[in-house]
Amino acid sequence: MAETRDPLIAHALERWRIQDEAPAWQKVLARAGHGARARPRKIAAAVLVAGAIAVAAPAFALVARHFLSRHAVPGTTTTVHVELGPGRSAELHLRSRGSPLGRDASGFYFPHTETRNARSFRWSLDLRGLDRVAGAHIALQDRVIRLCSPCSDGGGRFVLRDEDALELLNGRGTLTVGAIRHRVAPSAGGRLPRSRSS
Amino acid sequence: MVYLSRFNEFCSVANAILHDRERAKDAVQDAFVAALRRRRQWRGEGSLDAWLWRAVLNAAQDRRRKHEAILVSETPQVPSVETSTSFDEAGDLADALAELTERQRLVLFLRYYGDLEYRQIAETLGVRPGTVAATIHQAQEHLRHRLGALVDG
Repeated sequence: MAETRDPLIAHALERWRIQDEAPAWQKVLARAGHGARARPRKIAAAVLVAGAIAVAAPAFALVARHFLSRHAVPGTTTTVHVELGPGRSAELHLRSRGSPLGRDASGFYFPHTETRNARSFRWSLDLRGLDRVAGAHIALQDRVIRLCSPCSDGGGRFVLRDEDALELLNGRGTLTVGAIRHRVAPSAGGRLPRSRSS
Repeated sequence: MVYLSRFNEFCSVANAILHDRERAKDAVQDAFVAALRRRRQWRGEGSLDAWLWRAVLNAAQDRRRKHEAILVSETPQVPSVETSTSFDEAGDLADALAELTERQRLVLFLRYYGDLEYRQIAETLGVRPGTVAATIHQAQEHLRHRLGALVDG
């Protein structure tokens, strides 16, 4: 019985994972009525340890975040500018963080594919000279990523398998905004600032 | 100690059931309060881990049932055109999960968030490991299809 995990599903489910909560064992003990009854020394020690963890964990997280925030993370960005008429245009920003990229003669590739086969992209659309367009989508060879319909200024996120992500990163996608089509330029690979908002 | 070492896994599973971080933490606390009060009922017939996981699942499901009972009396919010322009991946994932059976969801959450083996999931849910394997296979197939559809459009 192979107990494997699907990387695409694992990636999608990450949004509900909780990783940084400090347990409050002393509250559990208090609610369960385990104050100063049997084994008071052990319970007091447990409360002390739990309390120390509860106090130290957020402080440690702050220090770690401060330290890590100084460093950039691998990622890619792409901006596509589409002229929609006189004084009207749309700009699509694509951004993917946390995926180290390699580059050779054939373009970008993912050097580490053993643990993941899904890449998350964030996008944002800025309209200039108009409030709304009928829709926007990116067409790859075998896939269509519908961004919005109808569209105003906004953004969102989508997940692609590696082969589709590379197709997009290597400039083989086409963006359609309203009725205007525009090739998606190859991404600028590199390192991005570590930011919670990106 | 299980509570301290696996607190975030317990919270993640509860969060996947409740979609609310604070209520998830409360549910885990409820579960361990109940487990401490009823600790003499555990007779060592199964593993302590499975007994605790069951307590967490029960507490989260209890909270969800109470919350749903409250929501029934509220007017549903219809999203405006503006808010619907963003690609709502979280909403689509929630929809896809909602299409699974309760058992499929629980098996999936215990596997992906709790990092439990099939044998441990089987013990927690009181089913056979073969049932877990079949259930998780069906759930994964469904989600693969739905997540693929998200990017296919």
